[in-house]
Amino acid sequence: MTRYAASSLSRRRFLQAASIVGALPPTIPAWADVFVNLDLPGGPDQRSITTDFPQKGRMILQRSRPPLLETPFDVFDRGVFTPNDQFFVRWHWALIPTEVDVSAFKLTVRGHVNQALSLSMADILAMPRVEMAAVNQCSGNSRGLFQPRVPGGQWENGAMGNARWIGVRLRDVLDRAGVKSGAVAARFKGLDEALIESAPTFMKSLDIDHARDGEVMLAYQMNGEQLPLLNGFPLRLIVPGWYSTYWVKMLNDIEILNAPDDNYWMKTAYRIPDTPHANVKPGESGVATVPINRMAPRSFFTNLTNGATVKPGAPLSVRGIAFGGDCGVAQVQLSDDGGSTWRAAALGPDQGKYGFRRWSAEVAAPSSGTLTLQARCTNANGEAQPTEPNWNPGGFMRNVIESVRLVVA
Amino acid sequence: MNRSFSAVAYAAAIAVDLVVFAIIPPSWHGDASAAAAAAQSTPPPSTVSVGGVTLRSVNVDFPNRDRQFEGPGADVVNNNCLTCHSAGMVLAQPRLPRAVWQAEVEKMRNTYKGPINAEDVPAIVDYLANLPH
Repeated sequence: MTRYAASSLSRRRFLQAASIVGALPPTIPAWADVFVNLDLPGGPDQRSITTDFPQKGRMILQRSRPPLLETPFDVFDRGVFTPNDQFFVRWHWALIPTEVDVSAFKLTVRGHVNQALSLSMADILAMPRVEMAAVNQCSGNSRGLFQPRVPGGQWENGAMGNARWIGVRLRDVLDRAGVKSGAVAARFKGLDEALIESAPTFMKSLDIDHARDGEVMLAYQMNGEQLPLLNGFPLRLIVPGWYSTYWVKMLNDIEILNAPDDNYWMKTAYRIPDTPHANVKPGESGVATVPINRMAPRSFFTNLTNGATVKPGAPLSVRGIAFGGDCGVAQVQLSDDGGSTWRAAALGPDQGKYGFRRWSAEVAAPSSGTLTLQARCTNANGEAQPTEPNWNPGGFMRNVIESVRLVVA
Repeated sequence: MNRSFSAVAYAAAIAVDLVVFAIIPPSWHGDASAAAAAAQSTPPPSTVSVGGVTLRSVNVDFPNRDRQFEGPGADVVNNNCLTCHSAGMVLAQPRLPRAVWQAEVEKMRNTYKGPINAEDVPAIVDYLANLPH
Protein backbone atom coordinates (compact mmCIF):
# COMPACT_ATOMS: atom_id res chain seq x y z
CA MET A 1 0.00 0.00 0.00
CA THR A 2 2.70 2.44 0.96
CA ARG A 3 4.57 1.88 -2.23
CA TYR A 4 1.59 2.59 -4.44
CA ALA A 5 0.17 5.39 -2.35
CA ALA A 6 3.51 7.14 -2.17
CA SER A 7 4.47 6.81 -5.82
CA SER A 8 3.91 9.66 -8.19
CA LEU A 9 2.44 7.15 -10.61
CA SER A 10 -0.32 6.20 -8.24
CA ARG A 11 -0.93 9.81 -7.40
CA ARG A 12 -1.27 10.56 -11.09
CA ARG A 13 -3.58 7.62 -11.59
CA PHE A 14 -5.72 8.82 -8.73
CA LEU A 15 -5.84 12.39 -9.98
CA GLN A 16 -6.70 11.34 -13.50
CA ALA A 17 -9.35 8.96 -12.26
CA ALA A 18 -10.78 11.68 -10.09
CA SER A 19 -10.76 14.23 -12.87
CA ILE A 20 -12.28 11.83 -15.37
CA VAL A 21 -15.06 10.65 -13.13
CA GLY A 22 -15.54 14.14 -11.79
CA ALA A 23 -16.13 15.45 -15.28
CA LEU A 24 -19.03 13.17 -16.10
CA PRO A 25 -22.03 15.22 -17.10
CA PRO A 26 -25.55 14.44 -16.04
CA THR A 27 -26.94 15.11 -19.51
CA ILE A 28 -26.45 14.52 -23.23
CA PRO A 29 -23.04 15.75 -24.35
CA ALA A 30 -22.76 19.06 -26.17
CA TRP A 31 -21.29 17.45 -29.29
CA ALA A 32 -24.32 15.24 -29.80
CA ASP A 33 -26.06 17.64 -32.14
CA VAL A 34 -24.55 16.39 -35.42
CA PHE A 35 -24.98 12.79 -36.42
CA VAL A 36 -23.94 10.43 -39.15
CA ASN A 37 -25.66 7.20 -40.07
CA LEU A 38 -23.31 4.32 -40.74
CA ASP A 39 -24.59 1.54 -42.95
CA LEU A 40 -24.48 -1.27 -40.37
CA PRO A 41 -26.82 -4.27 -40.63
CA GLY A 42 -29.33 -4.19 -37.80
CA GLY A 43 -27.95 -0.99 -36.25
CA PRO A 44 -27.50 0.91 -34.10
CA ASP A 45 -26.03 2.99 -36.87
CA GLN A 46 -26.27 6.53 -35.59
CA ARG A 47 -23.02 8.12 -34.38
CA SER A 48 -22.15 11.65 -33.34
CA ILE A 49 -19.78 13.76 -35.36
CA THR A 50 -17.24 15.38 -33.09
CA THR A 51 -14.70 18.15 -33.50
CA ASP A 52 -13.87 18.21 -29.79
CA PHE A 53 -10.66 16.20 -29.80
CA PRO A 54 -7.30 17.98 -29.76
CA GLN A 55 -5.53 18.31 -33.11
CA LYS A 56 -8.41 16.48 -34.80
CA GLY A 57 -11.02 17.77 -37.19
CA ARG A 58 -14.42 16.30 -37.98
CA MET A 59 -14.48 12.68 -36.80
CA ILE A 60 -17.08 9.98 -36.17
CA LEU A 61 -17.31 9.44 -32.43
CA GLN A 62 -17.31 5.75 -31.57
CA ARG A 63 -16.18 6.27 -27.98
CA SER A 64 -14.92 9.32 -26.12
CA ARG A 65 -12.82 7.60 -23.42
CA PRO A 66 -10.50 6.00 -24.29
CA PRO A 67 -10.97 7.64 -27.69
CA LEU A 68 -12.19 5.69 -30.71
CA LEU A 69 -12.58 8.09 -33.63
CA GLU A 70 -13.46 6.95 -37.14
CA THR A 71 -12.56 8.79 -40.32
CA PRO A 72 -15.68 9.98 -42.18
CA PHE A 73 -15.59 8.05 -45.43
CA ASP A 74 -15.87 11.10 -47.71
CA VAL A 75 -12.31 11.97 -46.60
CA PHE A 76 -11.02 9.04 -48.67
CA ASP A 77 -12.40 10.56 -51.87
CA ARG A 78 -10.13 13.57 -51.56
CA GLY A 79 -6.79 11.86 -52.07
CA VAL A 80 -4.72 8.83 -51.22
CA PHE A 81 -3.15 10.47 -48.17
CA THR A 82 -5.42 10.79 -45.18
CA PRO A 83 -5.09 14.17 -43.43
CA ASN A 84 -3.55 13.94 -39.97
CA ASP A 85 -6.48 15.73 -38.38
CA GLN A 86 -8.90 13.17 -39.77
CA PHE A 87 -6.78 10.06 -39.33
CA PHE A 88 -8.59 7.46 -37.23
CA VAL A 89 -7.84 7.07 -33.53
CA ARG A 90 -7.97 3.97 -31.39
CA TRP A 91 -6.69 3.55 -27.81
CA HIS A 92 -7.06 0.62 -25.45
CA TRP A 93 -6.41 2.26 -22.08
CA ALA A 94 -7.64 5.55 -20.69
CA LEU A 95 -4.42 6.95 -19.19
CA ILE A 96 -3.04 8.71 -22.24
CA PRO A 97 -0.60 11.51 -21.44
CA THR A 98 -2.07 14.83 -22.50
CA GLU A 99 1.34 16.45 -22.26
CA VAL A 100 4.52 15.27 -23.94
CA ASP A 101 7.76 17.23 -23.56
CA VAL A 102 9.88 16.37 -26.58
CA SER A 103 13.05 17.60 -24.92
CA ALA A 104 12.56 15.14 -22.04
CA PHE A 105 11.13 12.17 -23.96
CA LYS A 106 13.30 9.05 -24.06
CA LEU A 107 13.05 5.80 -26.00
CA THR A 108 14.64 2.91 -24.15
CA VAL A 109 15.99 -0.17 -25.88
CA ARG A 110 16.80 -2.95 -23.47
CA GLY A 111 16.67 -6.66 -22.80
CA HIS A 112 18.67 -9.13 -24.84
CA VAL A 113 21.07 -6.52 -26.24
CA ASN A 114 24.75 -5.77 -25.87
CA GLN A 115 24.13 -2.24 -24.69
CA ALA A 116 20.87 -0.80 -23.40
CA LEU A 117 19.98 2.58 -24.92
CA SER A 118 18.11 5.63 -23.81
CA LEU A 119 17.61 7.73 -26.92
CA SER A 120 16.39 11.31 -26.93
CA MET A 121 14.32 12.66 -29.80
CA ALA A 122 17.43 14.59 -30.86
CA ASP A 123 19.33 11.29 -31.02
CA ILE A 124 16.59 9.78 -33.15
CA LEU A 125 16.27 12.82 -35.44
CA ALA A 126 20.03 12.62 -36.07
CA MET A 127 19.82 9.06 -37.39
CA PRO A 128 19.45 8.24 -41.11
CA ARG A 129 15.97 9.19 -42.28
CA VAL A 130 13.56 7.05 -44.23
CA GLU A 131 10.15 7.79 -45.68
CA MET A 132 7.38 5.42 -46.61
CA ALA A 133 3.71 5.57 -47.57
CA ALA A 134 1.78 2.93 -45.68
CA VAL A 135 -1.79 2.11 -44.77
CA ASN A 136 -2.56 1.87 -41.08
CA GLN A 137 -5.72 -0.21 -40.66
CA CYS A 138 -7.36 -1.40 -37.46
CA SER A 139 -7.64 -5.18 -37.17
CA GLY A 140 -11.36 -4.66 -36.62
CA ASN A 141 -11.97 -2.14 -39.38
CA SER A 142 -15.48 -2.84 -40.78
CA ARG A 143 -16.39 -4.99 -37.76
CA GLY A 144 -19.84 -3.40 -37.74
CA LEU A 145 -20.53 -5.09 -41.08
CA PHE A 146 -20.03 -8.62 -39.76
CA GLN A 147 -23.08 -10.88 -39.85
CA PRO A 148 -23.85 -12.29 -37.40
CA ARG A 149 -22.69 -9.20 -35.56
CA VAL A 150 -19.88 -9.48 -33.03
CA PRO A 151 -18.99 -7.34 -30.00
CA GLY A 152 -16.23 -4.75 -30.22
CA GLY A 153 -15.71 -1.34 -31.77
CA GLN A 154 -18.54 -1.04 -34.29
CA TRP A 155 -16.54 0.58 -37.06
CA GLU A 156 -17.80 0.95 -40.58
CA ASN A 157 -14.91 1.23 -43.05
CA GLY A 158 -13.14 4.30 -41.69
CA ALA A 159 -10.74 2.71 -39.17
CA MET A 160 -7.94 3.05 -41.68
CA GLY A 161 -5.74 5.71 -43.18
CA ASN A 162 -2.71 6.18 -45.37
CA ALA A 163 0.16 8.53 -44.57
CA ARG A 164 3.69 9.33 -45.60
CA TRP A 165 5.66 8.26 -42.55
CA ILE A 166 9.06 9.79 -41.89
CA GLY A 167 11.43 8.45 -39.31
CA VAL A 168 14.17 5.91 -38.80
CA ARG A 169 14.54 2.22 -39.47
CA LEU A 170 13.90 0.07 -36.44
CA ARG A 171 16.84 -2.02 -37.63
CA ASP A 172 19.19 0.95 -37.25
CA VAL A 173 18.00 1.51 -33.70
CA LEU A 174 18.35 -2.17 -32.82
CA ASP A 175 21.81 -2.34 -34.41
CA ARG A 176 22.88 0.54 -32.20
CA ALA A 177 21.94 -1.52 -29.15
CA GLY A 178 23.35 -4.71 -30.64
CA VAL A 179 20.84 -7.55 -30.60
CA LYS A 180 22.39 -10.61 -28.95
CA SER A 181 22.27 -14.01 -30.54
CA GLY A 182 19.33 -15.96 -29.23
CA ALA A 183 16.94 -13.01 -29.45
CA VAL A 184 13.56 -14.10 -30.78
CA ALA A 185 11.28 -11.06 -30.56
CA ALA A 186 11.14 -7.32 -30.03
CA ARG A 187 8.38 -6.08 -27.73
CA PHE A 188 7.02 -2.55 -27.96
CA LYS A 189 5.30 -0.42 -25.33
CA GLY A 190 4.02 3.15 -25.33
CA LEU A 191 3.31 5.80 -22.71
CA ASP A 192 -0.35 4.88 -22.30
CA GLU A 193 -1.40 2.99 -19.18
CA ALA A 194 -4.44 1.27 -17.79
CA LEU A 195 -6.21 3.02 -14.93
CA ILE A 196 -6.02 -0.22 -13.02
CA GLU A 197 -2.39 -1.09 -12.54
CA SER A 198 -2.97 -4.85 -12.50
CA ALA A 199 -4.64 -4.73 -15.92
CA PRO A 200 -2.46 -6.04 -18.76
CA THR A 201 -0.15 -3.32 -20.08
CA PHE A 202 -0.61 -2.85 -23.80
CA MET A 203 2.44 -4.31 -25.53
CA LYS A 204 2.93 -5.91 -28.94
CA SER A 205 5.77 -7.97 -30.35
CA LEU A 206 7.32 -8.76 -33.69
CA ASP A 207 9.60 -11.67 -34.47
CA ILE A 208 13.17 -10.43 -34.36
CA ASP A 209 13.71 -11.04 -38.09
CA HIS A 210 10.62 -8.99 -38.89
CA ALA A 211 11.77 -6.24 -36.52
CA ARG A 212 15.12 -6.18 -38.34
CA ASP A 213 13.77 -6.36 -41.91
CA GLY A 214 14.70 -2.74 -42.69
CA GLU A 215 11.09 -1.74 -43.44
CA VAL A 216 9.67 -1.50 -39.94
CA MET A 217 10.09 2.12 -38.86
CA LEU A 218 9.85 4.47 -35.94
CA ALA A 219 8.00 7.51 -37.31
CA TYR A 220 8.16 11.03 -35.91
CA GLN A 221 6.35 12.66 -38.80
CA MET A 222 3.28 11.82 -40.84
CA ASN A 223 2.41 13.73 -43.98
CA GLY A 224 5.15 16.25 -43.27
CA GLU A 225 4.05 17.18 -39.76
CA GLN A 226 4.67 15.81 -36.30
CA LEU A 227 2.10 13.20 -35.32
CA PRO A 228 -1.07 14.37 -33.60
CA LEU A 229 -0.88 13.32 -29.96
CA LEU A 230 -3.80 10.94 -30.44
CA ASN A 231 -1.99 9.27 -33.33
CA GLY A 232 1.07 8.56 -31.24
CA PHE A 233 3.19 11.69 -30.79
CA PRO A 234 6.13 11.85 -30.57
CA LEU A 235 7.08 8.43 -31.94
CA ARG A 236 5.13 5.58 -33.41
CA LEU A 237 6.03 2.13 -34.67
CA ILE A 238 5.20 1.64 -38.36
CA VAL A 239 4.77 -1.96 -39.45
CA PRO A 240 4.03 -1.72 -43.17
CA GLY A 241 1.56 -4.30 -44.41
CA TRP A 242 0.52 -5.36 -40.93
CA TYR A 243 -2.54 -4.39 -38.94
CA SER A 244 -2.56 -1.32 -36.75
CA THR A 245 -2.45 -3.23 -33.47
CA TYR A 246 1.32 -3.52 -33.97
CA TRP A 247 1.79 0.18 -34.71
CA VAL A 248 2.43 1.07 -31.07
CA LYS A 249 1.77 4.74 -30.35
CA MET A 250 3.84 7.02 -28.08
CA LEU A 251 6.49 4.32 -28.34
CA ASN A 252 8.97 4.71 -25.48
CA ASP A 253 10.18 1.18 -24.76
CA ILE A 254 11.59 -1.64 -26.87
CA GLU A 255 12.51 -4.84 -25.12
CA ILE A 256 14.42 -7.57 -26.93
CA LEU A 257 13.21 -10.95 -25.75
CA ASN A 258 15.03 -14.27 -25.82
CA ALA A 259 11.79 -16.22 -25.47
CA PRO A 260 8.43 -15.91 -27.24
CA ASP A 261 6.22 -13.13 -25.92
CA ASP A 262 3.36 -14.57 -23.89
CA ASN A 263 1.86 -11.23 -22.83
CA TYR A 264 -1.93 -10.97 -23.00
CA TRP A 265 -2.02 -8.80 -26.13
CA MET A 266 -0.11 -11.44 -28.11
CA LYS A 267 -1.20 -14.67 -26.46
CA THR A 268 -4.91 -14.01 -25.93
CA ALA A 269 -6.07 -10.82 -27.64
CA TYR A 270 -5.87 -10.05 -31.35
CA ARG A 271 -5.82 -13.73 -32.28
CA ILE A 272 -7.31 -14.92 -35.55
CA PRO A 273 -8.32 -18.40 -36.67
CA ASP A 274 -5.43 -20.05 -38.49
CA THR A 275 -7.61 -20.57 -41.58
CA PRO A 276 -7.87 -18.93 -45.02
CA HIS A 277 -9.20 -15.36 -44.56
CA ALA A 278 -9.29 -16.06 -40.79
CA ASN A 279 -12.70 -17.52 -41.56
CA VAL A 280 -14.73 -19.83 -39.33
CA LYS A 281 -18.39 -20.69 -39.02
CA PRO A 282 -20.26 -18.84 -36.26
CA GLY A 283 -20.17 -21.03 -33.18
CA GLU A 284 -17.34 -23.20 -34.48
CA SER A 285 -14.86 -24.07 -31.74
CA GLY A 286 -11.53 -25.81 -31.42
CA VAL A 287 -9.91 -23.88 -34.24
CA ALA A 288 -6.21 -23.11 -33.78
CA THR A 289 -5.41 -19.40 -33.60
CA VAL A 290 -2.40 -17.23 -34.40
CA PRO A 291 -1.64 -13.58 -33.69
CA ILE A 292 -3.20 -11.36 -36.35
CA ASN A 293 -0.54 -10.34 -38.85
CA ARG A 294 -0.49 -9.36 -42.54
CA MET A 295 -3.24 -7.29 -44.09
CA ALA A 296 -5.29 -8.49 -47.03
CA PRO A 297 -6.18 -6.56 -50.20
CA ARG A 298 -9.18 -4.21 -50.18
CA SER A 299 -10.83 -1.70 -52.48
CA PHE A 300 -13.55 0.84 -51.87
CA PHE A 301 -15.83 3.15 -53.80
CA THR A 302 -15.28 6.70 -52.63
CA ASN A 303 -17.50 8.86 -54.86
CA LEU A 304 -20.68 6.77 -54.71
CA THR A 305 -22.68 5.58 -51.74
CA ASN A 306 -25.45 3.05 -51.42
CA GLY A 307 -28.79 4.37 -52.60
CA ALA A 308 -27.34 7.20 -54.69
CA THR A 309 -29.29 8.12 -57.83
CA VAL A 310 -27.61 8.05 -61.22
CA LYS A 311 -28.84 9.23 -64.63
CA PRO A 312 -30.24 6.58 -66.99
CA GLY A 313 -28.03 5.62 -69.90
CA ALA A 314 -25.37 8.17 -69.03
CA PRO A 315 -21.69 7.46 -68.53
CA LEU A 316 -20.93 7.31 -64.85
CA SER A 317 -17.56 8.21 -63.41
CA VAL A 318 -16.62 5.82 -60.65
CA ARG A 319 -13.57 6.10 -58.45
CA GLY A 320 -12.13 4.74 -55.29
CA ILE A 321 -9.08 3.60 -53.41
CA ALA A 322 -7.43 0.23 -53.04
CA PHE A 323 -4.52 -1.26 -51.20
CA GLY A 324 -2.79 -4.58 -51.56
CA GLY A 325 -2.36 -5.36 -47.88
CA ASP A 326 1.15 -6.68 -47.38
CA CYS A 327 2.23 -5.83 -50.96
CA GLY A 328 1.26 -3.56 -53.82
CA VAL A 329 -1.91 -3.40 -55.90
CA ALA A 330 -1.71 -5.41 -59.14
CA GLN A 331 -5.16 -4.50 -60.41
CA VAL A 332 -8.60 -3.29 -59.49
CA GLN A 333 -11.53 -4.63 -61.48
CA LEU A 334 -15.17 -3.64 -61.64
CA SER A 335 -18.24 -5.74 -62.29
CA ASP A 336 -21.78 -4.57 -63.05
CA ASP A 337 -23.28 -8.03 -63.43
CA GLY A 338 -22.87 -9.57 -60.01
CA GLY A 339 -19.34 -10.73 -60.58
CA SER A 340 -19.85 -12.72 -63.82
CA THR A 341 -17.56 -10.44 -65.78
CA TRP A 342 -14.89 -8.02 -64.65
CA ARG A 343 -13.02 -5.24 -66.36
CA ALA A 344 -9.96 -3.39 -65.22
CA ALA A 345 -10.14 0.06 -63.67
CA ALA A 346 -7.40 2.58 -64.34
CA LEU A 347 -4.89 2.89 -61.54
CA GLY A 348 -3.52 6.19 -60.27
CA PRO A 349 0.15 6.83 -59.48
CA ASP A 350 1.95 4.28 -57.37
CA GLN A 351 3.11 6.18 -54.29
CA GLY A 352 4.45 3.16 -52.47
CA LYS A 353 3.40 -0.46 -52.39
CA TYR A 354 2.02 -0.27 -48.85
CA GLY A 355 -0.14 2.80 -49.51
CA PHE A 356 -3.54 3.53 -50.97
CA ARG A 357 -3.81 3.52 -54.76
CA ARG A 358 -6.43 5.58 -56.57
CA TRP A 359 -8.55 3.76 -59.15
CA SER A 360 -11.14 5.08 -61.59
CA ALA A 361 -13.41 3.91 -64.38
CA GLU A 362 -16.37 4.92 -66.47
CA VAL A 363 -19.41 2.67 -66.61
CA ALA A 364 -22.63 3.05 -68.54
CA ALA A 365 -25.75 3.23 -66.42
CA PRO A 366 -28.72 1.19 -67.68
CA SER A 367 -31.91 2.92 -68.85
CA SER A 368 -33.83 2.14 -65.67
CA GLY A 369 -33.90 0.07 -62.51
CA THR A 370 -30.90 -0.37 -60.32
CA LEU A 371 -27.19 -0.71 -60.87
CA THR A 372 -24.97 -2.66 -58.52
CA LEU A 373 -21.24 -2.24 -58.96
CA GLN A 374 -18.54 -4.33 -57.37
CA ALA A 375 -14.84 -3.52 -57.01
CA ARG A 376 -12.18 -6.16 -56.55
CA CYS A 377 -8.51 -5.64 -55.78
CA THR A 378 -5.90 -8.24 -56.61
CA ASN A 379 -2.55 -7.65 -54.99
CA ALA A 380 0.97 -8.16 -56.32
CA ASN A 381 1.11 -11.59 -54.70
CA GLY A 382 -1.92 -12.66 -56.74
CA GLU A 383 -4.33 -12.60 -53.82
CA ALA A 384 -7.78 -11.26 -54.73
CA GLN A 385 -10.58 -10.10 -52.45
CA PRO A 386 -13.02 -12.94 -51.75
CA THR A 387 -16.61 -12.97 -52.98
CA GLU A 388 -17.96 -14.13 -49.61
CA PRO A 389 -17.39 -12.20 -46.39
CA ASN A 390 -15.21 -13.86 -43.80
CA TRP A 391 -16.42 -14.31 -40.24
CA ASN A 392 -14.64 -14.75 -36.94
CA PRO A 393 -15.64 -13.91 -33.38
CA GLY A 394 -13.18 -11.01 -33.13
CA GLY A 395 -14.56 -9.25 -36.18
CA PHE A 396 -11.10 -9.14 -37.74
CA MET A 397 -9.75 -8.89 -41.28
CA ARG A 398 -12.87 -8.16 -43.27
CA ASN A 399 -11.90 -7.79 -46.93
CA VAL A 400 -14.85 -9.06 -48.96
CA ILE A 401 -15.45 -7.49 -52.38
CA GLU A 402 -17.31 -4.22 -51.82
CA SER A 403 -20.43 -3.32 -53.73
CA VAL A 404 -22.48 -0.19 -54.15
CA ARG A 405 -26.19 -0.25 -55.05
CA LEU A 406 -27.35 2.66 -57.18
CA VAL A 407 -30.79 3.75 -58.30
CA VAL A 408 -31.21 4.70 -61.97
CA ALA A 409 -33.70 7.54 -62.29
CA MET B 1 -3.28 -4.26 -2.45
CA ASN B 2 -3.22 -2.03 -5.42
CA ARG B 3 -6.76 -2.79 -6.41
CA SER B 4 -8.06 -2.01 -2.98
CA PHE B 5 -6.29 1.34 -3.11
CA SER B 6 -7.78 1.94 -6.53
CA ALA B 7 -11.23 1.02 -5.40
CA VAL B 8 -10.99 3.49 -2.54
CA ALA B 9 -9.78 6.15 -4.94
CA TYR B 10 -12.71 5.60 -7.32
CA ALA B 11 -15.22 5.57 -4.54
CA ALA B 12 -13.77 8.86 -3.31
CA ALA B 13 -13.82 10.29 -6.81
CA ILE B 14 -17.42 9.31 -7.36
CA ALA B 15 -18.38 10.80 -4.02
CA VAL B 16 -16.60 14.04 -4.95
CA ASP B 17 -18.36 13.96 -8.29
CA LEU B 18 -21.77 13.74 -6.72
CA VAL B 19 -21.00 16.61 -4.40
CA VAL B 20 -19.59 18.73 -7.21
CA PHE B 21 -22.66 18.25 -9.33
CA ALA B 22 -24.89 19.00 -6.42
CA ILE B 23 -23.33 22.37 -5.66
CA ILE B 24 -21.74 23.71 -8.84
CA PRO B 25 -23.64 24.61 -12.00
CA PRO B 26 -22.69 22.67 -15.16
CA SER B 27 -21.31 25.78 -16.88
CA TRP B 28 -18.43 25.76 -14.41
CA HIS B 29 -17.02 22.68 -16.12
CA GLY B 30 -16.39 24.33 -19.44
CA ASP B 31 -14.77 27.58 -18.27
CA ALA B 32 -12.90 28.68 -21.38
CA SER B 33 -11.65 32.00 -20.03
CA ALA B 34 -9.83 30.31 -17.16
CA ALA B 35 -8.19 27.90 -19.60
CA ALA B 36 -7.17 30.75 -21.87
CA ALA B 37 -5.64 32.67 -18.96
CA ALA B 38 -3.72 29.59 -17.89
CA ALA B 39 -2.44 29.08 -21.45
CA GLN B 40 -1.17 32.67 -21.62
CA SER B 41 0.85 32.34 -18.45
CA THR B 42 2.67 29.17 -19.53
CA PRO B 43 6.01 29.38 -21.39
CA PRO B 44 6.18 28.38 -25.05
CA PRO B 45 6.50 24.64 -25.62
CA SER B 46 9.99 23.21 -25.80
CA THR B 47 11.22 22.01 -29.15
CA VAL B 48 13.76 19.58 -30.53
CA SER B 49 15.17 20.50 -33.91
CA VAL B 50 17.68 18.45 -35.90
CA GLY B 51 18.38 18.33 -39.61
CA GLY B 52 15.41 20.41 -40.69
CA VAL B 53 12.81 18.60 -38.59
CA THR B 54 11.40 20.40 -35.58
CA LEU B 55 9.24 18.65 -33.03
CA ARG B 56 7.27 20.81 -30.65
CA SER B 57 6.08 19.67 -27.22
CA VAL B 58 2.36 19.16 -26.94
CA ASN B 59 -0.03 19.90 -24.12
CA VAL B 60 -3.67 19.27 -24.93
CA ASP B 61 -6.98 18.70 -23.22
CA PHE B 62 -9.28 15.83 -23.98
CA PRO B 63 -13.00 16.53 -24.04
CA ASN B 64 -14.37 16.21 -20.54
CA ARG B 65 -17.87 15.20 -21.45
CA ASP B 66 -18.78 11.54 -21.67
CA ARG B 67 -21.98 9.69 -22.39
CA GLN B 68 -23.60 7.79 -19.57
CA PHE B 69 -26.05 4.94 -19.48
CA GLU B 70 -29.67 5.90 -19.05
CA GLY B 71 -33.00 4.35 -18.25
CA PRO B 72 -34.09 1.69 -15.76
CA GLY B 73 -31.16 -0.17 -14.23
CA ALA B 74 -28.58 2.32 -15.51
CA ASP B 75 -27.18 3.26 -12.10
CA VAL B 76 -25.45 -0.04 -11.51
CA VAL B 77 -23.88 0.10 -14.97
CA ASN B 78 -22.74 3.70 -14.55
CA ASN B 79 -21.28 2.93 -11.13
CA ASN B 80 -19.34 -0.13 -12.27
CA CYS B 81 -18.36 0.57 -15.86
CA LEU B 82 -17.55 4.26 -16.27
CA THR B 83 -14.29 4.22 -14.34
CA CYS B 84 -12.46 2.69 -17.28
CA HIS B 85 -14.49 3.81 -20.30
CA SER B 86 -17.33 6.00 -21.41
CA ALA B 87 -20.64 4.57 -22.52
CA GLY B 88 -20.54 5.38 -26.23
CA MET B 89 -19.03 2.19 -27.59
CA VAL B 90 -21.32 0.03 -25.46
CA LEU B 91 -24.40 1.91 -26.63
CA ALA B 92 -23.27 1.35 -30.23
CA GLN B 93 -23.26 -2.43 -29.86
CA PRO B 94 -25.81 -4.41 -31.86
CA ARG B 95 -28.27 -6.73 -30.21
CA LEU B 96 -26.10 -9.50 -28.79
CA PRO B 97 -26.97 -12.75 -27.02
CA ARG B 98 -26.96 -12.60 -23.23
CA ALA B 99 -24.05 -15.07 -23.13
CA VAL B 100 -21.96 -12.65 -25.19
CA TRP B 101 -22.67 -9.82 -22.74
CA GLN B 102 -21.92 -12.13 -19.83
CA ALA B 103 -18.53 -12.92 -21.37
CA GLU B 104 -17.83 -9.23 -22.01
CA VAL B 105 -18.55 -8.23 -18.43
CA GLU B 106 -16.44 -11.09 -17.11
CA LYS B 107 -13.59 -10.07 -19.40
CA MET B 108 -13.81 -6.52 -18.11
CA ARG B 109 -13.75 -7.74 -14.52
CA ASN B 110 -11.34 -10.68 -14.64
CA THR B 111 -8.96 -9.83 -17.45
CA TYR B 112 -9.01 -6.04 -17.54
CA LYS B 113 -9.40 -5.86 -13.74
CA GLY B 114 -12.19 -3.32 -13.88
CA PRO B 115 -13.48 -2.42 -10.38
CA ILE B 116 -16.79 -4.23 -10.88
CA ASN B 117 -18.60 -5.64 -7.88
CA ALA B 118 -19.19 -9.36 -8.32
CA GLU B 119 -22.72 -9.09 -6.95
CA ASP B 120 -23.55 -6.43 -9.56
CA VAL B 121 -22.59 -8.57 -12.56
CA PRO B 122 -26.06 -10.11 -13.14
CA ALA B 123 -27.73 -6.69 -13.07
CA ILE B 124 -25.14 -5.27 -15.47
CA VAL B 125 -25.65 -8.16 -17.87
CA ASP B 126 -29.44 -7.71 -17.60
CA TYR B 127 -29.15 -4.07 -18.55
CA LEU B 128 -26.83 -4.73 -21.49
CA ALA B 129 -28.82 -7.64 -22.86
CA ASN B 130 -31.89 -5.41 -22.91
CA LEU B 131 -30.44 -2.25 -24.41
CA PRO B 132 -33.05 -0.57 -26.59
CA HIS B 133 -32.34 -0.83 -30.31
